[in-house]
Amino acid sequence: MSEKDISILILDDEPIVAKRLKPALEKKGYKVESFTRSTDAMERVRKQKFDIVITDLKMEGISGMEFLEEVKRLWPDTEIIVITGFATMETAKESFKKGVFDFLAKPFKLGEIVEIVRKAVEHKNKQQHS
Amino acid sequence: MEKKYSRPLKRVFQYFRSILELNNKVLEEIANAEKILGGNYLFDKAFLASFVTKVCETTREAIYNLNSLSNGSYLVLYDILESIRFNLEDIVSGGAGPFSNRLTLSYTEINRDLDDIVGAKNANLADIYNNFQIKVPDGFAITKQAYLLFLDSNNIIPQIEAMYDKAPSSEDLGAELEAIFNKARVPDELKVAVYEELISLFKRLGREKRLAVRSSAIGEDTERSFAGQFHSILNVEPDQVLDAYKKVIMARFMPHVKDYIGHASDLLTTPVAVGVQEMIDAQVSGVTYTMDPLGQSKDCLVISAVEGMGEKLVGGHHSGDQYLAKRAYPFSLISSLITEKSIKHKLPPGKEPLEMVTTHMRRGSSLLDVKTLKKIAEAAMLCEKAFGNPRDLEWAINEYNEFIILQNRRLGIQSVPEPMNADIEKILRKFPVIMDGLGQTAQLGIASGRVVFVHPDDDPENVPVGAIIVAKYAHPKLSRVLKKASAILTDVGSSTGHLATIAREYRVPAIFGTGKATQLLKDGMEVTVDADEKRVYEGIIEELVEVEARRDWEYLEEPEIKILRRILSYVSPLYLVDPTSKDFLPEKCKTIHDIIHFCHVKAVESLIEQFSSLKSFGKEQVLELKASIPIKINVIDIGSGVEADDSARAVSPEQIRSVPFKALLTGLLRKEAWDTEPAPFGLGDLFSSMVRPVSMLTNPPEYSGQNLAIVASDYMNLSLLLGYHFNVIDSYVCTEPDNNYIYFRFAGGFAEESKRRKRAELLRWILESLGFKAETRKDIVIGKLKGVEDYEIVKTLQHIGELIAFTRQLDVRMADEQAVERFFHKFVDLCGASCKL
Repeated sequence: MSEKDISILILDDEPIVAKRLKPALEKKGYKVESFTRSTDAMERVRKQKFDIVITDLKMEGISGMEFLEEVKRLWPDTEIIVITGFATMETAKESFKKGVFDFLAKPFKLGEIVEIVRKAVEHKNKQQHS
Repeated sequence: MEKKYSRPLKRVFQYFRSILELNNKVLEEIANAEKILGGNYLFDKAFLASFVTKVCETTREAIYNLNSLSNGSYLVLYDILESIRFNLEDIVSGGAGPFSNRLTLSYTEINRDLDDIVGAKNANLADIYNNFQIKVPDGFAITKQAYLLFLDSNNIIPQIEAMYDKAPSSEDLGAELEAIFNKARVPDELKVAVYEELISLFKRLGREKRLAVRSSAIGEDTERSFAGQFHSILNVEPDQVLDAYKKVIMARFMPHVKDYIGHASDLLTTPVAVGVQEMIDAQVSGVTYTMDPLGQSKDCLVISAVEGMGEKLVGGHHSGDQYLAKRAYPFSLISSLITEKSIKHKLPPGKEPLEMVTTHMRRGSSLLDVKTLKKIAEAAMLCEKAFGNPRDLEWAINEYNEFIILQNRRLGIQSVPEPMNADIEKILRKFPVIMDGLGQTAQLGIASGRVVFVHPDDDPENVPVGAIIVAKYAHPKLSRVLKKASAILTDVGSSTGHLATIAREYRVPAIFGTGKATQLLKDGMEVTVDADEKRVYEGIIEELVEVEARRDWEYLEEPEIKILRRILSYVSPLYLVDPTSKDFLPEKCKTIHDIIHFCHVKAVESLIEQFSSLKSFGKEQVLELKASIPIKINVIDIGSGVEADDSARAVSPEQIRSVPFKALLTGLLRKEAWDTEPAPFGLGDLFSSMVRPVSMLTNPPEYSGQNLAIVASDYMNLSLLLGYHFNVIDSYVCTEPDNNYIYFRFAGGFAEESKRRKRAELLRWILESLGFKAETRKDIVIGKLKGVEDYEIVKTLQHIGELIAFTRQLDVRMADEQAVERFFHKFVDLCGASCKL
C-alpha cells in the first residue's frame, strides 16, 4: 500500500494533539481523521475501518483502553499506537497484551510518531505479503 | 564501606548530597520543559500539570533537606514555594496567575504571555523592552478585569444590546452611545489603581508628561488583526486620563468596529484593555516590515518614514521615504526612495535638502541616515527572532534622536512563499563539515555568519550583530552578547544551564558542550551552523539559511505553548544570581530556579562551614593518613571514601577511594613540590610574629595543628592548619558538571603583612590561571571553580595539591616586587607539561 491508501484515525481529548499531529501526518501523504471525543470516534470506527489508530489512554467517557479493545475486536488487523501522558510499566504492558503496535509517552517529538507510523505501515505491508 | 560510628557527619553529608541530586532533578525537568519550546515536540495540558507537580514536589524536598542540614535556618522557603505553587496551579488551569485580579499593570511587569489580561498591543510592546531592552514608551495597562468591572458597574452591556436591537442609523447610534458613556462612572477602585500607576510612571520618567491612551484589544494581532480599528487618543493631560479611557472603551462599540467584530454577542468575548503611555514627540515616524509583504524582495526588510507623527503613514495617507535593507547583518541598504518634500516643510535639524525639483518641492534629504536605518533593522530583526514570525513595527525617533518602538505586531503576509526547488542534500555536499554531532543542542535553528571568539568579560559593544559566538564555557555573563549573536557554540556547558535558557528566550541556535568548538573553529572564519543536526559547515550556505527562514514557528502561538511559557516564567528564570550580594536571601526568591539555586548554594556553604570548623569528632572513626609528606592528616570517612575496616587506625594513600581526595593527594605527594629548606626570614617577620613561638620559624617542616580530611567517594573537605595559615579545600565531583566544584580558601600566614599580601596575590594569580574565580581580601584568598567536567576537577585538584605544598612557607620569601611573578613561573615549571596554565 502506498501512503495515499493509508487511513489514520487520531483520538485525543486535548485538541492540540490532533491539531499538530494531523498536518504532520498529512504531509507524509496519509489520510487522517481526528476526534477529541471518544464516543464520536467509536461511532466512526464502527462504520469504517482505519489502517492505523492513534489514541490517548486517559479520557473522559469511554477510556482509551475500552476504545482500543473495541477497535481490535472490529478490525483485528488495524494497528494501534497508544500515546499517553501517564505512562507506567503496567499500562504499557496491558496495552501490548491487547495487541497494540507501539506505545509512546508524552511529550514526544513529532518526528518520533511519524517514524512509528511509518514502521506500522511497513509492518502491515509485510503481513499482507505473507 | 559502612562505618557504624560516623553517622552524624554522614547524615549531614547525606542531606547535602540529596540537595545536589534534587537540584539536578529540578533543572532536568526544567530543561525538558524548555526543550519543548525550542523544538518540535507534542504535548498536552496533562503534561503541564504533572510538570508543575513534579517540580514543586522536588523543590519542597530540597527545602526539607536544606533545613535539616542547616538546623532549620531557611523555613521561610516553604512559604515562598507555596505561593509560587499557588500561581503555577492557577496558570495550569487556565488562570492568569498572580495578575488575574489586577486592574492595572505597569509595563515593567508585563511580558507577551499576559496578552489575555492586557491585550496584545500592551503585551508585545512591554515584552521587547523587558526582555530585549528595545526602547518603547513607558506606561501601564488598564486590564481586561478593569474593563469588565467598568462595564458591569455601569450596566453598559444590557443598555447597548437594547440599543442595537432598535437598529438605529449610524448617526443615532453614535449619539446614544455617547449618552451611555457620559453617564457612566469609573469605579473608585479603578480610579485609585490608575492614579497609583500614574504616580509611579512619572516617578520612573522623572517628570510629568502628557500621555497617549490606546486601546489594546484581547485577541488583537492574534486571531484577527484589528489594526487601526480601535481608538487612540494623543496628548492627554494626566488629569484627563479617565475620560480618555472612557472614550477608548466607547470606541470599541462604535458602528464600524461592531461590523468588524461581528455580532454584539461577541462583546464580552472580545474585551478591551487599554494602554496609557508617555507621549513621544516624534521628529520622524515610520513603519518597518521585517519581510516584504508582497514577497518581492524576500531577503529584505521594508522601512518607511515620515516627518513628525506617524498617523499619515499608518493611516495610508502618505507613503513617506521608503527603504529596503538586507535582513541579515550588516543590514546593508539595498534601495531607497526619497520623496520630494514641500519647501514650506521645516526639515528636522541636521537634514539639508540637496536639490529643488519643481516649484515648491525639494528632494534629496533622506529622513533617516544609514546608521539609524541599521539600528532600526537590527531591532526589527531581533523582534522577529523573539516572536518567531515576521513583524510589523511602528516606531518614532524623538527629539533626543532616540529610536522608540510604538507598536509591535505580527505582519500579515499575503503571499505564500514558493516551494524551494534547490536540492539541499546536493548543495551541502559541496561544503566541508567542520564539526559534526558534538555537544547538546539547547535551541534549534540554522544561522550563518562570522565566527567571533568571546570571553565572558568582553565588552558586548565589541561583538558585532549576527556573529557566530564561540566560547570556552557557557558562562552566564555571555547572555549580554547572546541577543546580538546569530548562533552560539561552547566547549563546556549543557542544555540545562542558565545560558541555555537565555538562548531559548532569544531563539538563538545554540550547541553547548561540544568539547572542542574553540579548537575546530577559527576566529573570523565564515560558517553555517545547523543546530538541528549539531553540524557546522565552513562557508555561508544561503540555501540552508533559507530553509530556516521558511521554518514553521507557528506552534509558538498555541495556547498550550503560551501556558507553558507562562509557567516557565515562574519556574526557570534565575534572578538570584550572585551569592555575594546582600539580596541573596530566601525572601528574594521569585522562581523555582531561584529557590533550588539558593538551596544548592546554601548547602555547599553550610557543609563547608560545618566540616571546616569541627571542634571534636564525637564518635567518628579517625584514621591517620600514612604518607610520605611532611604534614599529618587525619581522615574521617563519611561514605565509601576509604577502604579500611572498622578497627583500622591508619590508612595509606592507596586505600583512599575518594576521587577528589585521591586527586589532591597525587599532587601533595610530589616531592618536588615540597620545599624543605628552612625558610629565610627577615627582621620584619620576627616582629610581626613576636607573640608566636620562635621555634615555629626555625624548626624543619614538621607541622602541628589539626589537619582533617572528611571524605566520601565523590567528596572531600580538607582543613589544614599549617603553621600560621589556614587552608580549606572543599570539592564535590560527579558526572554532572553543574554539580562539580572546588572551593579553596586560604587565610593568614606568618610573615609581615606585605609579604602575606604578595603570597595572596600569587595564589590568586595561580588559581585564576587554573580557571578559578578568585578574589583576595587582605591576606585571605577565596577561589571557586564550578560547573566543569569531572576530569577537569581531578586534574585541577592535583595542581591544588602541588600548590598547597608549594605555598607552604612562601610568604617569608616574598620579599621583592618581582617575587610574585618569579614564583608564578616557578610553579608553572613545577607543574610541568600537565599543567594547563
